[in-house]
Amino acid sequence: MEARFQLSVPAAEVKAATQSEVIQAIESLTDQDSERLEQVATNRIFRIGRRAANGRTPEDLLQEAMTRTLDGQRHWYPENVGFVPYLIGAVRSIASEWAGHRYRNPDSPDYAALESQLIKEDEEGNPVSPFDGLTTRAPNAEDQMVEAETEAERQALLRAIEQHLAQDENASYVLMGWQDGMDGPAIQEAFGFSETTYRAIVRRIKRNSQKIMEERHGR
Amino acid sequence: MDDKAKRGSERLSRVLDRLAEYVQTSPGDELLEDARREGRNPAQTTSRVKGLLRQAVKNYQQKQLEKAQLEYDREVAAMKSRHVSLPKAPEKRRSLLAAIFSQEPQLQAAFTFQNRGFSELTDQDVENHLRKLVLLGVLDENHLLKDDE
Repeated sequence: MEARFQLSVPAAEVKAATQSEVIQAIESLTDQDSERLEQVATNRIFRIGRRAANGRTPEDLLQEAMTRTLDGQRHWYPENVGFVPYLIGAVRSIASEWAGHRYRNPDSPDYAALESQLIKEDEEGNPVSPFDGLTTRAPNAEDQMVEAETEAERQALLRAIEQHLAQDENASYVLMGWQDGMDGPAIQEAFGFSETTYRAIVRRIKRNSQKIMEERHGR
Repeated sequence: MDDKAKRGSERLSRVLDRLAEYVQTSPGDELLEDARREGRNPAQTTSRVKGLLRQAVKNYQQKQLEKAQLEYDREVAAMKSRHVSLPKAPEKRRSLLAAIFSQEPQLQAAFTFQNRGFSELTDQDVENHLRKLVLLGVLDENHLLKDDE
């Protein structure tokens, strides 16, 4: 049998963007790029909710992504990825990080289930929780009140989107599918939508929900 | 929070995730067409987005300048707090620095700034440079004292 060798070729050195490259990229942003960036940032702020955002806006999110790029906390490699996809990735990651700063409540059944999924073993086979060593604080009555208020706002936003599209039967199906965790191909198959039809419906949903989010954001 | 509320919150998250995917992958002209239809001016959006990114750059640069200034101030304070015995006469200090630069020309390049020759250095510059050389350990202070005797 012929022996097979896997050659390990060292990856060429990829350089992170310099400050002047970052500035040049900002100046080169097109209207399409700016629209995309702003919409993703707005979407992520609504996604993490008012409490996790802690008063921070989509503008803050974009600026934070830029600051982290400049101070070296995040690296943009222009040879690997364009500026806009990079910045969108940074925005998404920072938003998730902000959302992760919510209080952990070990008394919650969800906490135990999640922790067990994330638990690892050390060298001696002892279970190690990723949350060990972190300060734990169960939410107090005030936290719970704010949490309930935030959740009520999130539900109200979802209701507003649903009501706005109530007359659009196809859009309502897609919204329902998404809420049940279905992706595009699954929805297309379930409701018999072509790719073009599905994209047109999503575009309508996006347009309407964007309007609602912007009204709530006060833009 | 009850299960119903949790489910509502999770459902919104799923909807927003799908919409984010769409915004990331949809053709740019569609995004612009929709923005115009919604009464937004894409040029104004660009101006706003660029403006806030530029502001982030400016803030970062300002912080870097402040940091550099702080380091410089610390350096100056350290120089001032340590007593360094230099030749008393300004001419002697100047000729000492000239001798050092002539012996180690690379130091002159490091200590004299662009478009500024040795002759343009003030007595204070000369004194600061000598102090720096002592603090950096390039110049032996005992040697200086002997020379000044």
